[in-house]
Amino acid sequence: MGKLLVVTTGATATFRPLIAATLDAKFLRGIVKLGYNRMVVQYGTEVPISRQFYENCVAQLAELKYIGVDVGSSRLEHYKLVVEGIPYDPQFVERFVKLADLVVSHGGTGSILDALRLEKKLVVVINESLMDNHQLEIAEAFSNIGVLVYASDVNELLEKVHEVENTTMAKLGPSVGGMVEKVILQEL
Amino acid sequence: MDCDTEITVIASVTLLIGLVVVLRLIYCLPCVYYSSTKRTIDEAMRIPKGTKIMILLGSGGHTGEMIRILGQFSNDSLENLEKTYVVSSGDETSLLRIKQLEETLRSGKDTRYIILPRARSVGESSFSALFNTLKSFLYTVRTFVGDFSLIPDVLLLNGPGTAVPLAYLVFFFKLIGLGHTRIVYVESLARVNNLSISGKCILPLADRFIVQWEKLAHDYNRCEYYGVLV
Repeated sequence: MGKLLVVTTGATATFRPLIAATLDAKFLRGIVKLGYNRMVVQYGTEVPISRQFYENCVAQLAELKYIGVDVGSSRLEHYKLVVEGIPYDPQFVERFVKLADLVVSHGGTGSILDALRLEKKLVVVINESLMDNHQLEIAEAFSNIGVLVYASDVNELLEKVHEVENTTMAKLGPSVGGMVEKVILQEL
Repeated sequence: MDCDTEITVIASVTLLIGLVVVLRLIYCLPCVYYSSTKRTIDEAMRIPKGTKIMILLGSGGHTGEMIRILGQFSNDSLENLEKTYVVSSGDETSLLRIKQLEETLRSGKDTRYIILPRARSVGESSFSALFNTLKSFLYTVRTFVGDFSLIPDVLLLNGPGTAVPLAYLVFFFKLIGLGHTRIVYVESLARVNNLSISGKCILPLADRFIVQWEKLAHDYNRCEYYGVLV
């Protein structure tokens, strides 16, 4: 059984450099060596723009014969790695993240927590073009407690994937959100 | 009555009123009488039926965290609560997400929704932002004055800016004896090293203030830390 890599750009504006970095020949060869045979790229909500961007990235890969993509290919079993692009979908966590061996995510809180709560190996890529954002702060804080690895530059992605593959990561543990209910009870 | 007596009377009345206001503030401000010992809550305890809660859904990330927090409540408590959600106009996503959660509850149909004019849009000039914030605040006041039964037992907030006027208004009602709302504020997971501006503004009024990173509980008085809540 090969492994599944899930890439998510969240439910907000398309994080193009992340899509481009994962649809890069060197990166794909790298993950095949690590035993991955399937990659799902959730390219965002801005369909059709994000879909178009995804397809353009795929088109540039066309000469890589051993990579099968869901664009017009039917005999996927002949390939070493199958890449599949999907738009944002509310069932995404259930359908994909749950099955993933590794998640590569943008720095959104929601996507980070979805992966960590399911105890998935996680590499977070920070979107530098977002001004005044807390993504780096959250990623750093989580990386300090050893539950994820983050890349502040997309070019470090493959290196960070190797790092997370070779490290035993700490677990975030279950949410203590029920505490808010207790606090309310104390106040009533 | 000569001029001096008049001044003395006015001064005394002003002082007296001032004293009453200060005493009332001291009586009402949680930061004055705060005690760190809390009553213990049994695992089986549930929020009693009919408890009124007002929940602000700030937008994207704030709404996301709030929904995750509510998702950790016991189903019984969620169904017992009489909920009023406050959402900004145009924030269809928050409305959609919370309605999805409400649909899973038997009590869903009694839930109320207040749609406030948006306080500030991204990229807006500061003048029009000021104007819109004022408009949004006046609308909030009007909504409450039109229906005092809206004043909740618990006000649950997790930012952003819109939370500030709402908290101050509800606290003002408490100050003049309308309602006895307990304000519970949860700081966003994104705040790792410093409290948000909204958080700093609300901290003195909040009966309970929960942070999600330990450092904040060390750095600020009265901040409670239990772990990641979302």
